[in-house]
Amino acid sequence: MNYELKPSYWEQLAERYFQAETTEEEEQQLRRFLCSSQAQDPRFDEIRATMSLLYVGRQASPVLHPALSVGVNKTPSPWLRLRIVAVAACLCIAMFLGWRQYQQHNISSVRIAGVAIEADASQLMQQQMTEMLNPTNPGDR
Amino acid sequence: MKRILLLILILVGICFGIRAQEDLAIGAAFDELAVKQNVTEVVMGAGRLKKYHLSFFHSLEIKSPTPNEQQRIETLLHSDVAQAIIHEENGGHKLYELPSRKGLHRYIFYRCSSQSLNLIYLEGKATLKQIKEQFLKN
Repeated sequence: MNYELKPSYWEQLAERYFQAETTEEEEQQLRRFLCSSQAQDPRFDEIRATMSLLYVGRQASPVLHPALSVGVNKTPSPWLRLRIVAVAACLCIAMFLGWRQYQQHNISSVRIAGVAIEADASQLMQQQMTEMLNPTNPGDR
Repeated sequence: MKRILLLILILVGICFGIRAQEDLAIGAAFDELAVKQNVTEVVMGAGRLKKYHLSFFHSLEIKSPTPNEQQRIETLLHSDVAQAIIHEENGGHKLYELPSRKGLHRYIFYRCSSQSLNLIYLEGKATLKQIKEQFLKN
């Protein structure tokens, strides 16, 4: 690659990159140029930062950010799909547990013969506990 | 992936984990007898028991219990109270404190008369003294 091209060429290319008018080949050229000693100029700081950020983003999550996944296989592998399903399963189980915990935490029920009835469980509890703890109310068996 | 599978296994374990008195023999009494005609079952969770410093209340009250019902409960109760750390008896009233679990005290109260049989399972941070004070002051 000839990096001896005029800096204005690279500036224009960078400008076109920001306008989303560059081809993949031009972007590749630009990336290579930015790694060269000729590109160590504050004029190219912005394009270098942008392309670096995109590179890092693509490496971190090419599937979750398909827009950043240029040059990366966009079809998730079966392994990746399995991971997504596993994470979804974890979330579902966690939600179920949270819901169950909430239900158990706030449960207050009175049942006669296994059938729930409208009654004040708190009052019944009070009554049963008082009777149970009161030594003047002994059982007879 | 192994970490995710491990997490799923842990969560599933929690889903089917032990709840309240289910690790005790009397858990079977609650399951079996609660559906009978002469039985009243009361269940309360921590949200309703905050003022008593309790986290779970489960009781069975059997009106005019049959000898079979009484025998069944007492059989189950005996296997649980073998591990009791406190045992108090006053007339027909029996009170047991079981070894605590997950930092929570666990109590079983039992009373039987010809009119009714009461079985109560309690769980929470309250000590026996606090429980007595709370309920007897009312």
